[in-house]
Amino acid sequence: MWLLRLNSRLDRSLLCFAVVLLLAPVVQAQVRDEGTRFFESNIRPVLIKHCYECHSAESGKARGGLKVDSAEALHRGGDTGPAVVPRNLQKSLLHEVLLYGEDSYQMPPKGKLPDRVIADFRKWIQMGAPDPRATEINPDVKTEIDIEKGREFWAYQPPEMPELPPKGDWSRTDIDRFVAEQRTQNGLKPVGDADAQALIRRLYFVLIGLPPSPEDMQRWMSRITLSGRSTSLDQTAVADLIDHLLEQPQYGERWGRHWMDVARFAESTGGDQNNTFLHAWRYRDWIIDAFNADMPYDQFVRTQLAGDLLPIADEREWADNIIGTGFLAVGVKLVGEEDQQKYFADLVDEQIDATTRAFLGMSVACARCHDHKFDPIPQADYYALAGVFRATETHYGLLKAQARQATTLIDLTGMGPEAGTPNLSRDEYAKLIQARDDARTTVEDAMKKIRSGENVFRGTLRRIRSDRDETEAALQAFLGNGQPRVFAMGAQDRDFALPTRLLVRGELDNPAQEVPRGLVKVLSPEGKHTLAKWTTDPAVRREKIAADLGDLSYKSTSGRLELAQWISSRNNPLTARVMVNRIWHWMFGHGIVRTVDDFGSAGDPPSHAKLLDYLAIQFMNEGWSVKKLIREIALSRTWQLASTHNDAAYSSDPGNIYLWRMNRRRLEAEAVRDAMLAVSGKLDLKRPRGTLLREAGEGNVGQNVFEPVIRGLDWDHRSVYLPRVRAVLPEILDLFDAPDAGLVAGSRDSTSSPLQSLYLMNNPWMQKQAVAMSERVSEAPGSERIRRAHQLVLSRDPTKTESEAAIAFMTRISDARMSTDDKLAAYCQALMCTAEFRSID
Amino acid sequence: MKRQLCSNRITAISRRDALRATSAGFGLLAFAGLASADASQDVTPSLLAPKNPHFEPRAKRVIFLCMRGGPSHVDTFDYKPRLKQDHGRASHYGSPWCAPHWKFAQHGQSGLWMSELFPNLAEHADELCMLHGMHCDQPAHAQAYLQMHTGHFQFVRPSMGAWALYGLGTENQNLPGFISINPTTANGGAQNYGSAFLPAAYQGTKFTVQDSSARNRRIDRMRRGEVNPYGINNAVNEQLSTSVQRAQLDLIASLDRAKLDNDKVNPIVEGAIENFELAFRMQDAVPRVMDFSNETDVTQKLYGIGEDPTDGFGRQCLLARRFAEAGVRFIELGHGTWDQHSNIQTALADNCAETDKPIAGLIADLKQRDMLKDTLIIWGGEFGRTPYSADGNGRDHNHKGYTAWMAGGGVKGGLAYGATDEHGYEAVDGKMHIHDWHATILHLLGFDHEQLTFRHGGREMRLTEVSGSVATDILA
Repeated sequence: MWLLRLNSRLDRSLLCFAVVLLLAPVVQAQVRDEGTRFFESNIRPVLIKHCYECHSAESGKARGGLKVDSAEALHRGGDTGPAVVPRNLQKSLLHEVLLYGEDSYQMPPKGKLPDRVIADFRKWIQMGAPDPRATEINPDVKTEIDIEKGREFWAYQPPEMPELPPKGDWSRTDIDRFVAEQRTQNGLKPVGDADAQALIRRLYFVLIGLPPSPEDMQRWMSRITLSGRSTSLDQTAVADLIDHLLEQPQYGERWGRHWMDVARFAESTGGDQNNTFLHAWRYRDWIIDAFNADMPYDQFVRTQLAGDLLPIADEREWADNIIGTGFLAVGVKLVGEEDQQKYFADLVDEQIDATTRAFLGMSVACARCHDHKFDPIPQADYYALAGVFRATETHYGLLKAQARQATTLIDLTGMGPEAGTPNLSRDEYAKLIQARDDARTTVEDAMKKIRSGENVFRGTLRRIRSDRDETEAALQAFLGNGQPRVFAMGAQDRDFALPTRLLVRGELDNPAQEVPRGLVKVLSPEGKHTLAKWTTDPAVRREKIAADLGDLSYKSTSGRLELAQWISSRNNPLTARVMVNRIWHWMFGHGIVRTVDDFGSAGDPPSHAKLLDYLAIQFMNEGWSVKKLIREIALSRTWQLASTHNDAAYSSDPGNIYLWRMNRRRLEAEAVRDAMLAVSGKLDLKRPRGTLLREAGEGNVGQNVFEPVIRGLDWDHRSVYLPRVRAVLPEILDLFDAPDAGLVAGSRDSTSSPLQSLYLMNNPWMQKQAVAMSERVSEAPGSERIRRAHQLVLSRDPTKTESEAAIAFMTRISDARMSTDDKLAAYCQALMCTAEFRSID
Repeated sequence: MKRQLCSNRITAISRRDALRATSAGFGLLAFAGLASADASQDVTPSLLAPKNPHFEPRAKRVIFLCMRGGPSHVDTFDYKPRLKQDHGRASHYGSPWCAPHWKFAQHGQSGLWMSELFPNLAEHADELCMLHGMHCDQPAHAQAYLQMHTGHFQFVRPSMGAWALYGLGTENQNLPGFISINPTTANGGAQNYGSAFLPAAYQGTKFTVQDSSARNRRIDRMRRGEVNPYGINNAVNEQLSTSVQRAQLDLIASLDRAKLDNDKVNPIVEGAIENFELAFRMQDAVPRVMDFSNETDVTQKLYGIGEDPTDGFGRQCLLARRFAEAGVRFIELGHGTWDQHSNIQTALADNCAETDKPIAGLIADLKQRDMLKDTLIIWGGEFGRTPYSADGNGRDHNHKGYTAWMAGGGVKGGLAYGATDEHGYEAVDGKMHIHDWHATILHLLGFDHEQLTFRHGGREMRLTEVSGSVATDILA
């Protein structure tokens, strides 16, 4: 596949770049003088006259990713490889394009240069391409940040197991003791415990994101309620319910979706153009499966950052791990960028930002242009991490004709992961070949026309080339027998690391000192933050063994594996804290640190510092098990509090910081939609294969995907499987504050707007659910219908007032010219519109 | 809660009373709203009913032109001859001073200095009140943007639009009283038009207007979603007659109300009750207000509608006028980004070209409708930019001194208030912190900013926290 070829050329260009940097100092002075003279008189003027207009910093253009205004830029080259490889005419594309060959680019576009000039270039390259236009290196940038002082900040201190507060009368579990202690200190009293009905409904929504069916509700009510008293609950039965729910595949869908907020998961580039990521869904399913399998969180972290580098037993395991590295590939990208170097820097920046925010609650990317303004993160720390990601190749696909910055994907065919599409019949496969051949011919014809001097619109050329690549890609997605290939987005190491310099103000043409690859200083023992130390220092090595990687000699070229180990290590003061806080946030609606993605000094301090440490240590001691932590929290009396209002407590702690009650929450967008489908009976719990975006194909959403189709998609699968195109969310998700996946977003807005009400009142999809629900309700005998409807929607019986209101409604509309079925549907819709339906109490 | 409004303290109890009062009259209220074109009619006091402020207001409504990203003041409104002299010389901040890239001239009778980037706006120089001494606390976008909108960047606080609505109510019960057009999802997102601890009824409602100016066309294609002539989706119910829908909404309201009675305090339910009622009335009102077909060509041209590159922001500005006319209290328009760390020569010029004519059109149109006198227009971004530049074509964030301006609504026109130092780096005279700016805006709306409070967490909260002083020199 030609994309593959391109990519390997890119590698070579990077390789050459590195070699040049290494060799640079040994050039002898004399030769340099002679060469410089030749360059100045015969080469530079030609470059300025014929090339700078499209290929220089001065013009602000880098067509094809190429700039020719510095030695470095020439050697690095553009999209198609290095422009100049000293002493090697074959590999020097610059020479090739000057020759104006049939099958190559022809430069300059205005006409072939005289043979004499081309001969000069030939000579110059054979001389070793002497070029005095080296980028000036700035003096070393020093930081003013005092790292030692920075370490004193609470979040950078290792968590310590706090002493357990006394049990007291109220507490049931250890968590309760910490909460009760602080609540009492703040002069607050807890409200009563939630009743069985509220608790069961809460557990269903929080753990699996769906309402209990009336039958579920009845079954668990009878098990949980002790001796008919609805507030005295059998905790063994509650534990059984928790375990039952945690074993449902719907748990992984619910909690996996939470993680997707953190991982800024989406299925399109979302930058200057919005190209679809047709293979991102594998990472989505991988997350869901990881939660369902209760993959230990440290392993979960390691796999997402360095799955490709972990020790494996077989190919299948490697394939799964690769899919996990999708974390590094699904971020926002500006794939139309012309300047390859700038694009690469932005890609790395996005990875640094996502990695440090998601796992560490740190905003290291703020230190790209200067020292961090609030936290003890010097600019050099950023470039130490950048070195790690620069040594990584990110694969996310796309077609070159549609996106300048396309890459290959990782081919996992035959390694075990299930295909994303059905097999093709012989006919269907033949059609793909035909389509590809036709598209190729069209391009060839156009090229012939051009050569014979005819005009072809540039737009036409772009379109037919794009067609050719799309049909080629469609064909390449299958093996010869019509079996789909398996591709994944993800990361791979380069063959070796690239030297990384600190960039003054983050500007590419403003380099300062070289920064060795490494980790964040404030989180590392003094003097041990570099990768080199990490691999040689005995203390650090011990930790590596502790990280359970088996063979000690196992290490990565990029340092990504070491980065992953360092983040997932017990000794990292942030990793466990950040994750338990996220889990707390998803359980309660608020974190112990409310700014869940920012544990720095601009974030909030923890409301319960000791509890946070307790949870973090407990989490690690229990093998980083998310399910165990959820279980422990759900069994606490704190979590089982009622959500009742209390005037006194409310007036002194309206934000419920000290947990005197359970927070009331509106359901998240996905849960609102899923609950409607559950109630209407239309919910299809099967996991769909792949992604619906497959129908749309490769390309920019604006071109290829009919946006209204996504906005108003009528589909019965769970919301987590809906297409997730950046900026084009299904309307209901958009209205109920689903994040746009631009950034790591561990907590969501929860707005209330009349636009939501209009959707609930008038949207045809909504009305369809109401009709479906009314059909379920009408199965019950007439006298039971109101009760049945309430049980379906609100998981409880109607009150007397509510029954009367229902009857009054039916009476009031009795004269309306509509069928009885439609009237019942209007009633069902009203129930689905109640605030209670979309809230967790 | 009758007439003890000057304290504007609405306790939890009286909020519930208000809701009960409202919901008792749901049907009546809604039908009344339907029957009357513009409902400033006397209805049962709801949270959104028009209220009297502390004293006679100068402005009845606000149109906030929010220029996200931090517009460069030294290239637009803050004329610094010294910067030109010192161009290229080392500043004390590392990078060399950088002269403005555009020419400045004096305009109007007042002789306000403005750069050539705003030729149309310059014709209204005598309406503008330049605030050259602006400053805020943080040079980072999210923090400064949040502070500009809510007074705070660390805690979740109500947006100034929500405060305005809380204090004044709104004059049209068929439209949201606080509308944010094309708000950004970045910089705190919905928090910037949120109501925080104020009742959810005061939250801003997001509208999306297609921005089809040339530069945005491509991005816009992917952002706008379904093209809808009504500007909002789901404005029409295809299934139910109005009377059946009314009955349905009454049922929803009674169920929600029962829940609220039971829960005592529940902002989710309170918000829902208000929003369903508003939504019902919006079905009729929004398509009408968003329909430009009865605007003359002359008017549309005035805003630059139908032309590049002004069409997008022109539509926003015209819509703002229509919302203002319809009685919406606080309207925010979003434009961005003005964050020119590089490429300022092209990008800033583009931004100005997109907004200059629409803004000038808005001022002219309000003036000819005699609405400028009680409509406060505010222009500004979260901070300004540095007068120095490393490469001569980009400027960094500068929160120490920058320019915002106001027009109409009781401010002096043709006034240059406050000043930065000779290079335009730091505010030195007529300094106006965000708290002062907020205090002044509230003053123009008829409030003593220290008295417009809401009890939360055992404390009387206010937009200006514990500071803020009114810039009395700019009051007309």
